[in-house]
Amino acid sequence: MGDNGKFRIVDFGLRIERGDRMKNVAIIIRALPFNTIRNSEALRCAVGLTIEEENKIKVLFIDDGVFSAASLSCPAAQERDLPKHVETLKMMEVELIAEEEALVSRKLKISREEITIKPRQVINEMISSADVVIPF
Amino acid sequence: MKLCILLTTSPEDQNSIVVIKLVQAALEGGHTAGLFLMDDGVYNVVKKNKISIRFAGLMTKGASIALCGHTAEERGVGAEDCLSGVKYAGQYELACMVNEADRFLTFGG
Repeated sequence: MGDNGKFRIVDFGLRIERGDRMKNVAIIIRALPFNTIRNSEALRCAVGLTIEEENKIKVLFIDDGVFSAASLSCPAAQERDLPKHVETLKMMEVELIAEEEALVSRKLKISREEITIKPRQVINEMISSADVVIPF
Repeated sequence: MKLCILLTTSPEDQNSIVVIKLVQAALEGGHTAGLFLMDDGVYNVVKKNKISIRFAGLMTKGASIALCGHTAEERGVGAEDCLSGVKYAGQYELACMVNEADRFLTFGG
């Protein structure tokens, strides 16, 4: 924050060469899926981002977001359009990753082959190395 | 430099003011700025909301604003309810913004 309460942008410290437009995008789903379509919206957003074929998209289910990943195995708990979006993302070769520690602490299991399970440390590295992070 | 921002929270959230000030600073610094509004973020450019005047000011200064038509429709927000100049768009525009931006920021809940 600068003088007069205004923000001053000094340097973003990021330069992208012309023609090098490939972006690593991490979409983070971290909240409970109950009484909201927010997590479904996150997956819809991920589907939309695949339109630009150069983008490399990862969808990361962390913390309470793993309930969304687990609900794919339980039809009664599925959110609106969630399975449809997952099918589409699978076709588009988007990585869907759930946090191992979050699953263990919540005693959840994921049986869907589309979703891989990785430790928190690996997911943290994916987030820190992403060009664009979109948390939901 | 092109700064693009995704805003997904409604006007009462402090994110709106932060985004307005960031975009103002970027424009004053000679950068270009684009905003994409999604989920409750679409309410920021509904004419009835007072804060929309400030977003209109950003557009006057050169910022481009687009919103997700799907989430706007789900909230009963039509193109006629929004500021003129706001692009009633889709996820394709968001994908383009992500690719074109030198810096992409997300302000969500």
